[in-house]
Amino acid sequence: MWSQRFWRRFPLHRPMDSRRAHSTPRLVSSAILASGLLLAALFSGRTEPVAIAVPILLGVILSSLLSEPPKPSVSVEVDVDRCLEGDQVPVTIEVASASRVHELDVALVLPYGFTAIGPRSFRVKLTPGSSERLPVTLRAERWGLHQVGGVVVRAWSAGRLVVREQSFGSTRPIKVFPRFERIVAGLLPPEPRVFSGEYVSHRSGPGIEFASVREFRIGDEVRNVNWKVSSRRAAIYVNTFHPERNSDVVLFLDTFGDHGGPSSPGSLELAVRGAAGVALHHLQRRDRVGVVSFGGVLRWLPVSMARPHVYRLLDVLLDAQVKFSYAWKDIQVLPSKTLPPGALVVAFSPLVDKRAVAALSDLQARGFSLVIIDTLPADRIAPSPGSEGELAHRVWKLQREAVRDGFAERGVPVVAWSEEDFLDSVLAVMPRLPRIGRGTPA
Amino acid sequence: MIRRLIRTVPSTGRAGATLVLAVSLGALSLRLETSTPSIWIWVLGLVLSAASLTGAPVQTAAIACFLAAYLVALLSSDVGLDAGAPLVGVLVYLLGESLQHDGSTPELISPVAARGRVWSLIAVSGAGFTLASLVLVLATGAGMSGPLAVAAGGVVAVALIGSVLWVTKPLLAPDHPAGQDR
Repeated sequence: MWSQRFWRRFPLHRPMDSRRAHSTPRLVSSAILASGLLLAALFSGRTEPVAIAVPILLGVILSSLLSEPPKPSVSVEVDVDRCLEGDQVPVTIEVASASRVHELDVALVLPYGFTAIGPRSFRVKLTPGSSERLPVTLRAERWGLHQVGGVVVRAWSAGRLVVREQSFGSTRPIKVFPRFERIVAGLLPPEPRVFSGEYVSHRSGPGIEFASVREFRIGDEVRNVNWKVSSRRAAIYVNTFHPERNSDVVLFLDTFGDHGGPSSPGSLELAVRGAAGVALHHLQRRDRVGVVSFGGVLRWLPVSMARPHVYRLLDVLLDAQVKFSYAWKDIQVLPSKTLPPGALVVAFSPLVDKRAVAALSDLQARGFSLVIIDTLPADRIAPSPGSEGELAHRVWKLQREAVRDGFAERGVPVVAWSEEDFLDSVLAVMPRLPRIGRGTPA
Repeated sequence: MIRRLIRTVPSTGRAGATLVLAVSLGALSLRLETSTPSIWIWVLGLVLSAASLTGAPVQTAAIACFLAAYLVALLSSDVGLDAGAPLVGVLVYLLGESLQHDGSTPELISPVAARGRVWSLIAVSGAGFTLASLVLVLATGAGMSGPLAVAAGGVVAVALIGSVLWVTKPLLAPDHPAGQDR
């Protein structure tokens, strides 16, 4: 009874008061047994109980004489400061002590988003001036900014009569980047912009892709003259081409909630992975990419294609998290540079929160080319047990289908994506986005 | 570095040691007097030991049962002075070590720490057996019995308890200040 209650209060990874030593259940039980034996000797008038109590008491005395207050010092070395999901992170704990420590339990506090490969708690013995280097290997399981390096030590006296525990909380931040979804084909933005890129514009201008033939006008280059057509006509005709232009892509993350089943990644995790993959794909094609994290906490990054922009994008994605809020938000709070005209908006949303759905509808009404990737397939959420749970689940599914159909009627493609599918294959089946010209009603 | 770290003692080792110690204590008790109460108390101690090995918080109760079985057998017998008492004391001490459950056990224990633990058990067992035998020899040589033996036991008890309190007091004092954190 003593030991279980004691250790339930002081598990290895939750530190006890480090200012004093704590007597262990063994010390208490030794004292109780020895006292009982001595009382039995007194009442029975026999010497044997005293002889039986002698080893127990001797253990306590010798253990106490050989013990001294421990003075451990701990340092943690982490070799990496950034990695990808699934990468291994080696951590080395170095413990030393200025006094003798008979038994020292050392445990690395496991940060959220990491799992340990192999042992992460050790028992060592330290002599004055000696040190031990203990290797721990962690695996980064989830993207984000994590703090690694918390250590808890528990120093036992000789005979384990007294225990002291101390935590060392100096940690190092490690950025774990999401596992990128590899995208090959990607999305074709309907409205290329003015800078040079990889998309063939529907307009005419300098380029490689042949467009048409027209009559010569002042200013046309002589090298574009189509001599075959000109020789058959009485006038000079020139070739026109479609220029290659880039595009603006804005990633819209719905961070009002993180929905999903117990054994599958949540909708926010899928959204971050997908957004990272789409961002890298379009940045490699010299598009300008921005991101909006729309939820309880608003974060945005204007579009850019500069080389350092990759790291800024990933930092915004790593900071994406759910913050519960009742406040109603719409896209009017976003700066105008965040949503440049004609940008392709790729939204990752579970389509659960009305605020996110209203914001997406607003984006479509304002003339943006919008694509919605549904990160919460309906079969991910299991109905509650009972007929009422089944009915509520069916109603919920109908409501979501109505939302998706509403977007589809307005020309907004909505595709569902789960972790079993590749995002590239999901985007490949997406219908071509309609071109929205100036003055064309949405 | 890796070669210096070994796995913890398997739980089967603890169970085996507990069984051997429990059976030995039972044999020492039953050789004095095979009275029914002594046997049943010993069996109860065996059951509680098995429960303690699986995590139940009954270590002290289990050891108390073994001691009670021995004392009942001792008081029921006609033996004037049992020479096996020091051995009983050492076995009870070792049984307490085998039933000790210190909460969360580390995943790896260094061989130096493991050897240190074993040597401390051997040292306390040997010294305890010797000192307990000395107590019996002194009691026999002095011819003490009855109230005289009780008085001698009381003196020894006061001396031992006082020693324990004297040596453990500095250990339980608070540190000034808390350990460094780097």
